[in-house]
Amino acid sequence: MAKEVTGYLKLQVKGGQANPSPPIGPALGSKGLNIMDFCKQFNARTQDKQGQVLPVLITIYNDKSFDFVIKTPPAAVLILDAAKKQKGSSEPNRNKVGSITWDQVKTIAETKMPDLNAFKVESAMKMVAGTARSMGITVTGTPPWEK
Amino acid sequence: MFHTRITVKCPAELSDMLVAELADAGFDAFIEIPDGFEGYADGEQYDAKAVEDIRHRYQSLTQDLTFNFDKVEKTNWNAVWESSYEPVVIDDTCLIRAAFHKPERNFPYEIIITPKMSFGTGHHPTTRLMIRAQLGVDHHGKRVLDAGCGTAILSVMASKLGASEIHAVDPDEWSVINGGENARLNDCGNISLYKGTTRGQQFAEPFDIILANINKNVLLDDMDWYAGHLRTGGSLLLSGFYDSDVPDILAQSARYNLVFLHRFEEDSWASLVLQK
Repeated sequence: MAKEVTGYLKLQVKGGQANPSPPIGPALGSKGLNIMDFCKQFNARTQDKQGQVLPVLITIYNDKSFDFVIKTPPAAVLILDAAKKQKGSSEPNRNKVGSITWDQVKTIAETKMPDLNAFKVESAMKMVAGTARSMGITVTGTPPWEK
Repeated sequence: MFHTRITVKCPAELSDMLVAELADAGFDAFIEIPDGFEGYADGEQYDAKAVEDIRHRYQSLTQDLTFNFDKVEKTNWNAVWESSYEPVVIDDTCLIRAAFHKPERNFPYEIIITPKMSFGTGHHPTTRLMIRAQLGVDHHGKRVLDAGCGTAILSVMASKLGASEIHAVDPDEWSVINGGENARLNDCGNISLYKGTTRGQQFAEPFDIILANINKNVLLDDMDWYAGHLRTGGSLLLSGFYDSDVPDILAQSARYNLVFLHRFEEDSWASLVLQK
């Protein structure tokens, strides 16, 4: 008999840092899944994205087994990382508000393309720039399509 | 031991941004709930001032934003699985079972584990790969280190294989307590447990065998320490990584003059036996 899907869980966990603490522990444990098994697998698969927040979608089956898919980091996470690089260490602990360049926007847009509802890099870039502005982060310079 | 939970109710389009900003302020992991998400931080290890600043900035974008805080006590969330787990047999040689299982027959080696949310029950391929590797290494009268011991299952196996003394280290306090419980459950009086990182320990004498089932990054970082704390001719047994990571591990071990002896594989995971 084919196993049936009994539920989904949507988590965001830092790469390489899954542990049985909440939310992972209670969310998986209450469904009778082996938490430690999930943590070992997640950490091994995200070694190269250590510390970066990654969305993970877990599918739970009726035999208490599970599968999971790791998505690209949310655009907002990539924007914050980029803004920190841009700011450097000259202004530590000032408000998070900062700036990123159009080159950085392009890199983020390309990273996010597999998960975004956009066919062209240009439209993905506009979405990323919009997210950045909502976060209080300005995009400096001229967009490539206006050059 | 507790965690701080922040419950955020917000419009869906702000969810990812708030997760990103709160992760930056010290919250480690998040779960989606109706109309928002929950985030968790270890103890009170988050930047309260930064969180307040985030609340201010986003409340200027929407009125539908609330932050609520409470504490969640740490408990054994793995209890449901642990109360009904199946025993594991490795190569018809080693049985790993819970205290509530009645063994059907005798095996050369039998290990009883009550995991209490620590890693190492034989259900994950890496534990089986480590035990398989251990079965091929002479443990008689040997001084052994178990780096990142979890339930201390590998220490118990080392003891059963005849090791004279075993030192088990784990940064997680729960694992140190649980490792001690499992050592007693298996009548292994020669296992000593230490809380902390492997690198943070002071050992006067080198080891004959070092066991480390951790992950690729930690193994790469600690390879120099392992090599430096092994006796010449001693064995290093590693796992916690995929087949595809083996070239990186071997390249790093070669830098410290560790010689490759054996490789075991199961379900795309691998273990290695190296010699100094």
